Amino acid sequence: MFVPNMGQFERKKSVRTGICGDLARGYTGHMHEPLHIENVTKSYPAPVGRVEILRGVSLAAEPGETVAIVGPSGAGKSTLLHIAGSLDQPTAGSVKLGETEVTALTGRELAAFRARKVGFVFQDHHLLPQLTALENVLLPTLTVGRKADDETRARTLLERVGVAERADAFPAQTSGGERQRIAIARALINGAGLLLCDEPTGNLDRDTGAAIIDLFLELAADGVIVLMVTHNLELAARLGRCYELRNGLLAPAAPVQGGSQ
Amino acid sequence: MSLWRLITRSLWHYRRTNLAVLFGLAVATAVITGSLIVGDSVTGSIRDTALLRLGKTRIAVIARHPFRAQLADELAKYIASLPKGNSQPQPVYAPVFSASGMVIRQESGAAVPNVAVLGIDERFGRLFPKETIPALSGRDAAVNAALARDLGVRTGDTILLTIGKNGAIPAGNLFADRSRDKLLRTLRLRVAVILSNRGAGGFTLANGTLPPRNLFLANTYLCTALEMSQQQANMLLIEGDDYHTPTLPLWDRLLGREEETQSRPTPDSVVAAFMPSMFYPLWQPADYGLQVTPHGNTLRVQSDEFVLPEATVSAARQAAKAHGGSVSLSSVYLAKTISTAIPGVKYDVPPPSLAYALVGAVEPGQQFTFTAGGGPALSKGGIWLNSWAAEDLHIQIGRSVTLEYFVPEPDGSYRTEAMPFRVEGIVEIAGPAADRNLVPPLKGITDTDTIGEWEAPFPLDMRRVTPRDDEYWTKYRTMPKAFISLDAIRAMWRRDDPKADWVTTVQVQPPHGMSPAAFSPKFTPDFTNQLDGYIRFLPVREQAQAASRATTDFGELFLAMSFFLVLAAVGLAAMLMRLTVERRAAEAGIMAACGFGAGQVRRVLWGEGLLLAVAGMLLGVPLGLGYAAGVIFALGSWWAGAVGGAALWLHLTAGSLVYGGVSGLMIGLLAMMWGTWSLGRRQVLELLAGWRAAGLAPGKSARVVVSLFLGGLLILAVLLIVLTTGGKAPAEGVFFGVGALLLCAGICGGYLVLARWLHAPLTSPTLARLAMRSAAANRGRSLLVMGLLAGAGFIIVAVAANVRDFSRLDVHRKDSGAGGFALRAISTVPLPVDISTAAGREHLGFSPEDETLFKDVSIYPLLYSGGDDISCLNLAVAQKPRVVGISPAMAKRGGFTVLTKVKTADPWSLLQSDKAVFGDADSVMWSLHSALDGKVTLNGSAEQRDGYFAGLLPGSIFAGELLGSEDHFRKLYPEITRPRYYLIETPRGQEAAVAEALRRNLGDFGLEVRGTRELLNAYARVQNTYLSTFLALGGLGLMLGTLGLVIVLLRNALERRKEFALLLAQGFTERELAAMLVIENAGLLVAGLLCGTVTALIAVAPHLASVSARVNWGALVGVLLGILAVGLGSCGLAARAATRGRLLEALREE
Repeated sequence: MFVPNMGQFERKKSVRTGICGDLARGYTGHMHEPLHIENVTKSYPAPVGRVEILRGVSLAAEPGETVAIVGPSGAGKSTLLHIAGSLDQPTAGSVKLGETEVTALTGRELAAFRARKVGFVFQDHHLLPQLTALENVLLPTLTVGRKADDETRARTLLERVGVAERADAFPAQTSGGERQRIAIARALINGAGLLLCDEPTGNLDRDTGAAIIDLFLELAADGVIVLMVTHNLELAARLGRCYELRNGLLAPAAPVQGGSQ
Repeated sequence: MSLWRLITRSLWHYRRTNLAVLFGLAVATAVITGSLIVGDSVTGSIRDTALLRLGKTRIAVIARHPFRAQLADELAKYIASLPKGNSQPQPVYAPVFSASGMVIRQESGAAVPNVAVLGIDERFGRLFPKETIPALSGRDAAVNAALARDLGVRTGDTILLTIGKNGAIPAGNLFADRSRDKLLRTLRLRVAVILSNRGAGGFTLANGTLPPRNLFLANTYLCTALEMSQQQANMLLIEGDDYHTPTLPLWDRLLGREEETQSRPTPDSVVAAFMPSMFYPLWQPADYGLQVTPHGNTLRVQSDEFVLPEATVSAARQAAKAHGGSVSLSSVYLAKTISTAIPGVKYDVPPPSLAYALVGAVEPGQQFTFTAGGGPALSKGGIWLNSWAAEDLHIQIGRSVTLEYFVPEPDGSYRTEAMPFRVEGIVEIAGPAADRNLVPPLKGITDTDTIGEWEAPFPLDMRRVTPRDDEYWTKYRTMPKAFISLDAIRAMWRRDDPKADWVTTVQVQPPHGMSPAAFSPKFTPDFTNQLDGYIRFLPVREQAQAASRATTDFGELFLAMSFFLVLAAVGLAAMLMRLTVERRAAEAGIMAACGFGAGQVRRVLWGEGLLLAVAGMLLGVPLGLGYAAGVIFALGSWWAGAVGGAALWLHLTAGSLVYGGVSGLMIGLLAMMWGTWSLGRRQVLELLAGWRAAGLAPGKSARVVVSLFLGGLLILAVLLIVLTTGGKAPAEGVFFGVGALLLCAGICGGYLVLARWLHAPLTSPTLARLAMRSAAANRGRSLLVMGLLAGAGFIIVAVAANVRDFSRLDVHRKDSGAGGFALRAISTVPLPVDISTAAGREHLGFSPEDETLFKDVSIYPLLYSGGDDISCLNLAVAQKPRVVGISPAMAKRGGFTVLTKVKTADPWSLLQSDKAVFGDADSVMWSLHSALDGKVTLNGSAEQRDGYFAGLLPGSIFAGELLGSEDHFRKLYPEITRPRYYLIETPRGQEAAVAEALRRNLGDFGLEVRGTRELLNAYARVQNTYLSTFLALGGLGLMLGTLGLVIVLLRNALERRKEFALLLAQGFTERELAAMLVIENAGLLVAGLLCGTVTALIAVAPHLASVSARVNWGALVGVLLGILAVGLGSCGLAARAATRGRLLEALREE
């Protein structure tokens, strides 16, 4: 079984660089932690018996790493991402973020885990239409208790992702790229060390998609682990590592010309 | 960012939907609050009406026998002489003489029977300080507005009042007057003033919601007109120390000031209970219609009624015994003749005889002086003649004489009975034999100078009166000519009625050595004190307040009738909330992904819901006031039949506003919780994906559960029929239950059909199949539409089909609600003779032509108490239900359908039990809140008796009264001896002619004749109005439901715009898309409506088969088609909205 190189990066397990990271950590005060996905399997009941989507997938990522996962539709990419972010439970195996055994969490612990340590960015941005960009970014702060500097940090994050001037606009008044950037800012407001991106550029044009990847790389520089699922091999190649999920197994993806870190 | 901001932002963002939710919640709150206010208003109006009618009257003293009006002054003086605990002013004691009469306006011929005639003085007016009641004198009368309206009179008009004279001697007594002239008195009066029904004009002690017909006269004039020796009264109204203010401002009520006035320290019932002790010393025997007079060495107790009731005799005996005295009884009777002739023997020369001789009977021990024969006591067949009689009869000791005497017949005639006696002694006219006061005073007889002047009710043949007879009368007046034993005279009194009273005088012997004058102050108060039932002290205000609870809680009733409206409003709100939540599933998903726990996500939605519910409450409560005002207005106009025409006006209590508001709030919260409930059960990923997609296909287990449920419903329906009928035709209630079960089964069936369509392969798609699949895919919405229409159809058909009309009822059938009687008559003044016989009718003046008409008519006269109406026409709680005494003849005849616990072929025989009572099934259930075998308390004039319902008569003409045996009745109302209630069987087609003849001949007795169909329809009108009300409120609910339906269909169609755009891209035309939508929704509408209609028809099948069913099929079909049209219109609107405009943009979005 292929096991990705967990020691590919010799950097410290905790990183304290970059404005985004500082902002995020400034809230929670904790260091970013490494991600360990070990031997995760996932199967679903089906009329023809159980279908195994993931068959013992393992993956490790250190803070600051960017990882892309590609693969055909239905291969289980999103499932792996959801399991990593505690939105789904594996049939077997474990997911650890730092010392936290994610698969062992239940109920409120799970919600608290998602609130403080994980940020999600979806293909469909899922912004709340009734809230402005700034309010959407501030939404997760409701889960961890409000702080005096919440708004400052949110504005800084919006500035960092390049949509500061759209802070008071409602989602319906923004473009697809802007919405996705707002969603990224929202994912980071509580200082998440793990950014899980499910086809974040799927609805975006090439240039906007590239700009989003640039943003991910900048965030990674701040110590955030970026785990991205995409069909776009070109964009995937720009991330630190790229794996292909096929037949429930993870394997290094074939290199794509023009891809770089 | 805060939770509050998130909630308010969401509320604003989804404001259109939220406004619709708010509307639904406000309507629900308004209807609940309004219904409670309607309940308050009915109760408050009944209470206000009752208390306004009583004015300041707190306690009423009711006497069976008229008493001196002067007693009121004596009482006032007595109370004033008592040491005062406080400085309160002297209360008013208002004597009133009350009787019943009939009023006619000659100009128009309008006649109003059963008018309460009240003889009053200025003290009555003082009980109503807020009104100006002019002093009445002479022929000036005040009438209330209700009577004035019925008669069509104005101030200054002349009216004729026919009133029953106060005949003291009970019917059945030899000396009782039975001629029309003696019993009725007609007075020509001038309407001096018309009083409002609210207030003094509506004065009544009965607990009813309809205004009485009242006529007020000066008591002095009335008593004179009725030939009373002095001013008398039979009612004493005693003022309370506070005055009810019905127009108390709303805020005073809300602040509970009304409560303050009600919380007086001593309840009236307690005051009424101790009042007798205060009154009895003042009450004189004459006030009971009794005389206690010293006579020789005895006190003599006699009655205006000529004979003393058994209870009075017993009271005298006990009072005498208590003070060491003793009593002896005596009686007198009138002999038509005392003759030496032997019955059956013809004489050429008639043997000597005495005509119209009084015969006495005394207990042994009297000191008679005999000229011949004699002894200490008479044998039963023995007779002592006084010397005058013996001389006239030329008789000796040991000879036989025949005593002929009159026995009054019910038909007004007098038959002659004979009794043989053996002469055992001749007594001197001295001592006890010379006692002319042994005969109680009889106006028109004992006060005349000659026999020829007698105004006797029985026929007098003056040819048989000899000069000797007249000479005796002139010389000795009422001294009996003969004495017989007590047994013999009792047998004469009880010739036809073995329970008839017979003692005419009780002689009270004081203890040895005490004079009657000294004994009287000891004996008399104690004696009158023991006369139970003569005088009653009624806490009338307390009773009125108790009665104002209303037989039915109108708050609950209107809440029930508005159920569909509340359901529709809440359903609309909940459904919109749910749709909103569905629409916002992904929103909830992203919140969960952001770290919101399920509870936190729910809190956001609940926060929105809570704000909406609070806003709905704040908006709904004032709207509820408007709703209540509308209903009260309707109850005073279009729905007046539901409350029997009672006057109602708006009343508010803080409780109803709070309960209504809180109920609306709770319902809003429940609706919100239902709307958001399924959110908590969804996984984050499901929410993110949008939950409608997640829950599209029903699982197999769900289908199995629904199938089992459907099977269970069908089995239950079959079992219900089999188990409850035992082979007979099922009852209406069973059918209704079966219909309701089938309705639920139909909706379950709909679910299964939709599930089947979802799984059926769509190999050759057509528009219809696509529509079916679409309906199946949106099964929640589809079932909602179908269920709504099915429910609406069921309720509308079931309700509309239940309207009753007895116009075609065969009243001649003995098992019908009319019991075979075509007419029912109630007389204001009891008829003096038996109208059921030809002789009685002749006595009453019926012509031979009339008699031909009455040849095949059967009349059943029944004793009737009057009192509180217990039918649905009276909203107030009956405190003293009317009672009809069922005569043995009526019980023997039977008739009606009587439901009994005991299986019997002769249910009327159950009334023989002392406590058995029959009642109309609906009245017993709804007005008295009892049931078969349930208890009932009968408040008679003499006593309060507990009884039980031995039989119930469904849908009968006896809805207003209870039925008991005649014996039972007499114990309750010993003073009522003549029937007033008549059930009349007529040949088919002669009802109108018989009714007309009765009215023509007995109009002056105030006979009110009504057809039994008309009576039954009057009761049915209440139910029919309720049904109309239910339909009207249900219709409002349906409108709201339809609004919800439009919203749901529109939402559904708009949500599927991308789907339609795709189909458009595939080559479908907009027309085809619209057709598909219409097919889908119209199918659901028709299926729902059919399901509801068919199951409702099953539910009401037994009623439809009955003759009382009166279904306006045209209107019903019209309503159903209207619903269908509105539904189809909604479909068309939804289809047009969904397929119009920028569909391709939707496709681009896809």
